[in-house]
Amino acid sequence: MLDGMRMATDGMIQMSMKQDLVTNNLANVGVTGFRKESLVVESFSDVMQREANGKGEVGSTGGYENHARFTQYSRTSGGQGALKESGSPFDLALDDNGKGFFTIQTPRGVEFTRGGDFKLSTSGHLVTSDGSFVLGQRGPIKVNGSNFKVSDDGVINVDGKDVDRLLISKFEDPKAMTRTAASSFSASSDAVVATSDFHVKQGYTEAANFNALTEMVDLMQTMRNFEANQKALQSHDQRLQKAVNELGRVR
Amino acid sequence: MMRALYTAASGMMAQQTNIDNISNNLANYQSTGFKKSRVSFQDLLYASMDSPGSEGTGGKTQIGMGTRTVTTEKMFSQGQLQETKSPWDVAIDGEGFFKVQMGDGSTAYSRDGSFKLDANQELTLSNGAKLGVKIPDNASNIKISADGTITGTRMNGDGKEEKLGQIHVTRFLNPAALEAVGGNLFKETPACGKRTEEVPGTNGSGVLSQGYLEKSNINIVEEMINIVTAQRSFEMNQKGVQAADEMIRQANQIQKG
Repeated sequence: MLDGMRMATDGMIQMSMKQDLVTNNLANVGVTGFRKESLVVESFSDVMQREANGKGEVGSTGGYENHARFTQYSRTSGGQGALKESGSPFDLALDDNGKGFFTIQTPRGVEFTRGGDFKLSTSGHLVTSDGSFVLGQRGPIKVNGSNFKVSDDGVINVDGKDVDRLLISKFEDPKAMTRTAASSFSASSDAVVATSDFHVKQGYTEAANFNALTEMVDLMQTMRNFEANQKALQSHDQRLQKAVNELGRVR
Repeated sequence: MMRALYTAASGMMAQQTNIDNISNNLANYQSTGFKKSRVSFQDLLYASMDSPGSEGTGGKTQIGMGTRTVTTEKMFSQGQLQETKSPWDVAIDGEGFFKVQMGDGSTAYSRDGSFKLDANQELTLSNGAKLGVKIPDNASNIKISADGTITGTRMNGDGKEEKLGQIHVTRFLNPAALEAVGGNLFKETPACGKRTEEVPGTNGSGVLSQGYLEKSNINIVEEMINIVTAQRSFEMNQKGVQAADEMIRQANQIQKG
């Protein structure tokens, strides 16, 4: 019975975390290049089964021993967001099924983002909306001229001269990505490779890559799951109360 | 779930800013040479946490703290040209700005070309900013050509057309960094990049059209769709607040009576 209470409590904590995550997705609906974050929850027995099978051993978890010990991690969804025409020449969007990232230089080090609503800094560099340098193959991209063009394959042309090519990175293992802030991700250098398999759309921005409808459904579902766990907890509590106060009554 | 409350609140505030901005765009639909602005948002910091009962596999859980407004910037796409037949109305068709002198001596830039002649025969905007072009008071038949040349005939002259002045347009590498100061005027900021003064029609600058004014570059349909989207986004976040509130209420009710 105490096990049951703990399971229900775990479930409630789990759901409240999930709610934090879903709410964060909803709050960022207006962020250019935002990647949806979702919570992956696996029961202990599932993980054990998988790990055991991977090693070729027998994974027996037994029927009743499923104690609902969870493992969980948040995962960044990699899908493409909708492209929207903006009219600003410094808005760049990647059209590649959500695979690649712009490489940027932030005060925290090299990071990656799909937030392509770039602008020019005081020094004439192409920067993200919070002022981090956008990197090309030859380092930070500087725009010295009045005619800024980016071709479909990422070649940057200023006043008719090719000056650089955008450095687009992709992650071998999406789990290696750590969210920082400002729609950016950090990763250890061995998890990232440069790619040339992308298309750049100049004058477009990429919207957040989630569907508001499924997020709203998630929001409600999470709340009801939380409620169900709360009810289970209450019912365990009532049974416990009966056991303590009625079964074991001393007359 | 207390976090969810604040996260959703940040989303509501961001959408509020968005609606403020769209409303301002809509309100200026009829302003000559008005350029719409847009708001950019970014996500906030992420908290990394270990899960309850985590057995070490899988990975980390990162939960965000919401969103914030980072910048608003002007979008300098071309507005429609509208015929007015007034000889002093000039529109720029293409890139560039009129450079005008404000009353306090500082320089400002404008897409609004609804000039009038002031008492000194100078071309002046309705807010008193001067273009720096003087028209001789004995001149008539004034023409402003596409390349900015002002020609006319003097009354006591030989009846031939002569050049009376020249209007230049100023281009910026990054006009989005111009600071809007109201009155359809913009001020230069260091982030504007290289500034060049051009004869209209050269080096990528626009040409002038006499007798026309540039309307705002607002597209009513687009703005209306933006406002509906913003309103619904606001609503979604409000539902987030409600859901979090409901969960807190349920947590409080675990222990009955």
